[in-house]
Amino acid sequence: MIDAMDSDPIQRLIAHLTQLPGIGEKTATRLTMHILAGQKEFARALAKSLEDVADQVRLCSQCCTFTVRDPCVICSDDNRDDSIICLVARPQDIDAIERTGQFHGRYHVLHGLLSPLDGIGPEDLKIGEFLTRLRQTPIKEVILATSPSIEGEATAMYVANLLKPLGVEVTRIAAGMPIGGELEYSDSMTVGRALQDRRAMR
Amino acid sequence: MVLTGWRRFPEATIELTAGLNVFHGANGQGKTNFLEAVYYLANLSSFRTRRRGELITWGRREASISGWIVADTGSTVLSVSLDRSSRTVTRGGMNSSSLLSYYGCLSVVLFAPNQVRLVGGPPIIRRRFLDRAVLRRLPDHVVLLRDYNKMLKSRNVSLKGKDVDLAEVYGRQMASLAGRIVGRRRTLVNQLGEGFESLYRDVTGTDERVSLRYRCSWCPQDTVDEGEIGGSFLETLPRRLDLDRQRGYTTIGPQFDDLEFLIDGRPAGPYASQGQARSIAMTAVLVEHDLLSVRGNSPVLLVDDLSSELDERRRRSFLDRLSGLSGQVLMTSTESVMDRDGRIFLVEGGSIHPEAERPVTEQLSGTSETVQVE
Repeated sequence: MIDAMDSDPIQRLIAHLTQLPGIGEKTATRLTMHILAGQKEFARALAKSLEDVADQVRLCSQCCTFTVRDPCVICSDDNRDDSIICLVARPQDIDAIERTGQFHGRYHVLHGLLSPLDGIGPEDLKIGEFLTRLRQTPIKEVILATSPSIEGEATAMYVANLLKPLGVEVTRIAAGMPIGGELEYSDSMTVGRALQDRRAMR
Repeated sequence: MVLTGWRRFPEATIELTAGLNVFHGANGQGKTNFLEAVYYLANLSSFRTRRRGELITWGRREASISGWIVADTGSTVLSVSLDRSSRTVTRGGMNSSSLLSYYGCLSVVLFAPNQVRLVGGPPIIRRRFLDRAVLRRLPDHVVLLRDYNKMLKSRNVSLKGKDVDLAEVYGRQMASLAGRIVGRRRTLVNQLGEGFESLYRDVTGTDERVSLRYRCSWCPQDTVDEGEIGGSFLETLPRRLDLDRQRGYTTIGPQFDDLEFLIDGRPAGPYASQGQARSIAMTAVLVEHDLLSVRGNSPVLLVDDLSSELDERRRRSFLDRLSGLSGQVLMTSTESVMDRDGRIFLVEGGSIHPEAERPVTEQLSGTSETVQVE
């Protein structure tokens, strides 16, 4: 880890930035130099933003997403449908679904997917919180909206098994051809899945 | 083809012919090293070592291989240079960022002395042969295998952690993937069967009947139906749960399956003679060559040390087959005698000279820098 006592603040900042995903030493150095060359106000504002994020953001006590206000905006919105919960892996997945404007229920964020090979088991996800929530409020339907990757499928299957005794309806988001996609340019896994999950025309 | 700092070749420039090329010389002169270079250019891995340092000429810091690839669809130059820690690959003089597009440029099939292990060796060698062959037709097979292995490891970790619920989830995912993997392997075995039998007769000149049988570790029914095979996996898994938990790993699956060669109905593994085993291995190489030949482009066949493997009669009939192949053949041999059309090279102390035009002076250094690898 980073030596906090490193006397050179420039090296320290570079070292911190390289801890972020997708940022190597080159990019970290470039960002650091950019910050140094710019206005001091920007650097201070950036530091303040980081501090605020660390101090003020917590997990929503209902849906476990990142929020400043507890419960979060969605959980405290009285106009939403309480009887349907959409289960997602990460907070940013909520934004993706909200952008569609087609879902008006509640959410729950797992904060990851099951991955025993990386040491991530059920107890490392917000599954316990989800089950507690389901016992407290009557729910009609749970939509499992983890991605159609093998990890996403495994996590959905695991949660579905846990929900069986509760008697709620459990649905899974569909996978297949992308809208506007050309069949001939699609990879065979996607087309295969689309064939598997085909539906009758009505 | 240009080699620098590769194994026993500090510098070598060779012009190959589109048909048969024979490399002869005493042992330890670098014949196999040359085939290895062509193999490396195609697959970016060696069939002899996993240590990159061994590929570089002693005392040198860098090795490079370049080959001019001539195909019906156009020609291009592939080259790869490596030192102990890095490797650079170019195609047509441009850095190749995507290895997937590089791999398709040059395909090779290898027949080396240890190929006989296809018959007597462990099942993994035969599974790899099958999966490689499936892959030629269905490139996404590699994704199925990768996903299956991931689910298998996840289930095993769950079994060790005594989490039966989690193990059950991964078992279900394994079932559908296993169904597809085995369905594809069996379909291929069925398709290969007939061709394999007649090719084997051609190669050996006998009327022995060779057949192939896929042995699935859980599904005895000889079906190619992916749903049925996957379903059978799902039925078997709970019955093995106690055993699996005890051992801490999954005891069935495509990773335990085997491909059986039968000669006149008897399993070749325990019963085949050395000669029969070699003939089967040879047939398998020809079958793989055939699978790789698409749209008029054939793979390059690399044959290492035929004489150590085959008796005179089998060698002759194999050579007959090779002459009939459409693609390029590169072959090493300890003898120079050959009564077939082709180019002969003498490999001696790290240099390669065409036999017919063996130079007195350094005539070769002035010739074309490239070689045809069709």
